Amino acid sequence: MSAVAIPGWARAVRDDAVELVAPEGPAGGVITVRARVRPLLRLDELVARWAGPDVEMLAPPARVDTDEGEHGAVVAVIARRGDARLRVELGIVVGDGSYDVVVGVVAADAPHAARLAAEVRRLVERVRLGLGVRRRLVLHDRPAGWRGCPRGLETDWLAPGFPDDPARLTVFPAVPAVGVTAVDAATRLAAEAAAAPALAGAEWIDEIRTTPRGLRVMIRSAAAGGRAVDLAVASDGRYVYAVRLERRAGDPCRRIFDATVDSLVPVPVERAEIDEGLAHWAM
Amino acid sequence: MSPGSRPSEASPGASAPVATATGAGRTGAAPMDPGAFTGWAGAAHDRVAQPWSSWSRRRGPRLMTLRVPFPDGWTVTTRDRVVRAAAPGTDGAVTVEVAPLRAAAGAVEDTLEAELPIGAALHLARPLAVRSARGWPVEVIRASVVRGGAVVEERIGAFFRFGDAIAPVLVRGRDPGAWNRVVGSLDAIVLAADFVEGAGPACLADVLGLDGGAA
Repeated sequence: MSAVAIPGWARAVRDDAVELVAPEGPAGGVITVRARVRPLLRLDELVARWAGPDVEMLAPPARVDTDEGEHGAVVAVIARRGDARLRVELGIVVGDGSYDVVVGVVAADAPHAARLAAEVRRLVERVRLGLGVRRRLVLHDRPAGWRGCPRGLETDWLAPGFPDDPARLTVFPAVPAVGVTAVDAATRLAAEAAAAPALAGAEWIDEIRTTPRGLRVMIRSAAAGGRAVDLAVASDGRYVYAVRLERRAGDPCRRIFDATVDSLVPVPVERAEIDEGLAHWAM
Repeated sequence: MSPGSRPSEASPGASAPVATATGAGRTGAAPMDPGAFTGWAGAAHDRVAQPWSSWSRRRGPRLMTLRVPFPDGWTVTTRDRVVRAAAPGTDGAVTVEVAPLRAAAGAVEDTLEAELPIGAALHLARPLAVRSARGWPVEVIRASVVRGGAVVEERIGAFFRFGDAIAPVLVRGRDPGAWNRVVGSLDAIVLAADFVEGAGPACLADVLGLDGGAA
């Protein structure tokens, strides 16, 4: 956990958490920061855990890129405790199988609600997980109606009719682009796909395009024996991203593949002004 | 699983269990109608091949859940992630238990031998390879719990394969009358099961609450 502090706020370490209390006291807001919370939950489950089941979401969750280059999010809800209404600002920074959780609480009608939201967001931005360059989860949209099967850092998406409809989409982890190019990755994935008897000898058709987020993508497709495979490999110079679709030839789910590729979010860029290299020593 | 190859010591709680391959050579005057449960035979052996060769190289995920669409009237409860459903009008004598995905090793034995009474033996029929309504490969094994020469319980294990993992379903009939009344409908109910996402996040967008889009 990074050195969690806000100027003017009281700071205390309690068990596995850091608690920050506003200058006005708890009525001005209390923020609790916990590191390495497991397991990863869906955000609505996490909100229910920290704010209770009876909540009203004030706005959709907002994505936050941390200074360190990790994925995070913040969400604000109104939680009810009997007759009391509390504003809960929840922030998370996602690591590998765990996350840091920032929870700010203040009375819903308190004058400092906006300040609390800003402080929680800033704490989220400053969280340092210290995980460095590594294979990572890739942020992408859920294919609507498909079932997701997480396997470590990758996700298999099964078509609604699977297994009668054998279409399966795999979003691979982002791999650091150290000694690996997108062309290398595309070649390797194509070779693996071609090893399947149904695709032996199939002709590959290549296409290059740019996604709405600016990722340059090489797409390779092959079909034979009633089966088809589509591969998409992209690189932003820091990471290599890959998506694979296995399907029946002619299956229109190719558009699901294209939409998923277009939704890929590059790994956040680390901001250069970080000066907290030793922050992990100061919980 | 090879019928008749079950070691007797694999039945905890049974003093002298003897697993016996049944089918044509089935012994014991079973009061339950052995021919009523015909739907399992399915004649679907030609559909057992895995859809993708790479599938078998992967470890089965643990976050999928097998959901059986029990009709109205069934009493369904969940405890320790095991769903238990009692057939209507059977006073709990006919139940279906759906367990979470687990490693394939030992799944068949653990399921069929669950709560085997002391002194009872499990007589096993030949396993049948069928497909569920959605196309999942399923191994079905019928078993009779025999004690003192009489069948005291009918069991049917349906083992849904998901990659290298298995979701076991155990059908139990403890009363011959109740069993014979509902057994004909059980195959359609159980084989209508499908895998759905479990409670955990499937992807980073779920963790970040960005279900509507990653932007």
